[in-house]
Amino acid sequence: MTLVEAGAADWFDVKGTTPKGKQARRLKDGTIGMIVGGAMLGILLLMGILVPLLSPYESDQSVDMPFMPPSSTFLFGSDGLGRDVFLRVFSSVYLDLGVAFLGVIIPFTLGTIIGIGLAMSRSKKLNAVVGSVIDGINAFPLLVLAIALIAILGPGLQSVVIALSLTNWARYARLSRTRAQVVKQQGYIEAAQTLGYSKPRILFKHLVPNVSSETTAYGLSDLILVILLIASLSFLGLGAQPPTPEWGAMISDGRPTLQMAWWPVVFPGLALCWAGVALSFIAEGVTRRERDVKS
Amino acid sequence: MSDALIEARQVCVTFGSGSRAVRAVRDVSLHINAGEAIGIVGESGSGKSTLARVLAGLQRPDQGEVLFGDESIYQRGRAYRGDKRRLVQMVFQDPYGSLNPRITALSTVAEAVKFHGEHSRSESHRLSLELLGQMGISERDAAKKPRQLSGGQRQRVSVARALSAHPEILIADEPTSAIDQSAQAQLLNLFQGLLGDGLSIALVSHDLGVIRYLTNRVYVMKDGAFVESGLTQEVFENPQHAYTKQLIASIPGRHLQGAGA
Repeated sequence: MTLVEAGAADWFDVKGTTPKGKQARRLKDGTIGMIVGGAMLGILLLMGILVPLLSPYESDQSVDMPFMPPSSTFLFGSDGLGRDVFLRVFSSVYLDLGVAFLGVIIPFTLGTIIGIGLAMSRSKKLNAVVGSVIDGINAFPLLVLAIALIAILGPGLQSVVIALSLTNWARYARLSRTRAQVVKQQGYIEAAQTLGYSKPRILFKHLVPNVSSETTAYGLSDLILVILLIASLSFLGLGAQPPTPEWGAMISDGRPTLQMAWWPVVFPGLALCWAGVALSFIAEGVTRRERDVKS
Repeated sequence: MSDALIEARQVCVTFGSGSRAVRAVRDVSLHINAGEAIGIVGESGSGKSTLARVLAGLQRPDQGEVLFGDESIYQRGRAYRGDKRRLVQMVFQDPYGSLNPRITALSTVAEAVKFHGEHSRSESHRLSLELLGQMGISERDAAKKPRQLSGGQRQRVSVARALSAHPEILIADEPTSAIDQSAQAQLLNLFQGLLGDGLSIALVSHDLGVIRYLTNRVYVMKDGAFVESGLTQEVFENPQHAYTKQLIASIPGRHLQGAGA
């Protein structure tokens, strides 16, 4: 309970209500969700460090007979090449989450800069041209565009990140342009102008934080989609290449023998779900918190 | 007018172009003398907010000029060059949008105090708390974010922020229209006090009661142009233009006052 209270005190000015009222409030404002999501993500990240570190084996090393079911020695069993599924699932954590993080942070940064730039620019031509590029990119499903780009760039995780950067920025640009257009007309921006603040001060202290807060909330839910997208691309053989441990690729490897052995497919799938649920709890909390700031 | 602090000459503002053009302000001239309070009244869409923004240096007029002292404020580049910028400050209509939602009332004011006074951090915090205190904002409330403050409190924080620049003119665009009655009275008393300290105020409002209470001269605006202007008392007692008569007749409860007099 102390963890709950310490967290909540930072985020909210919780009024002196009954303990039950407080609890309901925290459920509603997403605090509890953020703590649960944060804990789930923390466990995953911790296991991602500890399991490869403490395991006596390498992730691409044969340790047992192929297709051994889960046992007390090998908790998640072994795959078709006799590799430890438990070790491989947790060896993938930083690769999957790291690539997804890059696949979000690069488009996020690009898109925010472009979006705010467009909203600030007075050039109608620039807005029309870049605006239609944004709409054009957004008109395609992300997966289709990403596959097309990877076909040009060649398979591999590097191509996945480049493809994501080239396509996904448009969503952030559209979001931050719309938001910046609203924010720049707010009284506090005009007041900052009459106070004589410099343009960089107005931009970075007053405008950008109020624009990026919205895109951050979107970015967190986008992270979930990007994790799934990376797994999907690897499943299709376009992302991580064998023997690199990666959830999508592992599911792909185990798929032909699924009827014989379910564990090489199910455990990476569960890891994907776990990461997705954890992040969606956090994203939901951030979105609700953001809504509270604005109201 | 030689003693005019700020003067607008034949100001026109047009939004859009071609057949969709809206002439928000048409050929308007006004002046504000040092230490006086003027009112600009008119219904919604009459162009009074646009005119206020022109005076505050936020909306460049298409024609005409605005003089502060002897100098035109809309020269090339930004309006109000150098030290003049701080002398004209504005309080906005919407108390919900006029404060940055991410920073506390104290930080908002302290940023402005620090910017204009080159004080140390602790010094500007002390001065800000003092200023907020004068506006009736307690130290406790000063530490709150805008969403935790009432509409009236937010407006008073906005006034404190504007005053931290040591302005000579305060332009208030419908400062009372979005807040409740008691908060309105509090804000108007505050303005009255500021007038006593020598500040000039331009009050834009559709609330004739507020205008009558605070201002000594008034401009009546309709469809972007002034239809009548003069001393507030005279305009209220003896309106000349049909529109002004209509406006004054529509003050709620006025017939009761009239019956008593």
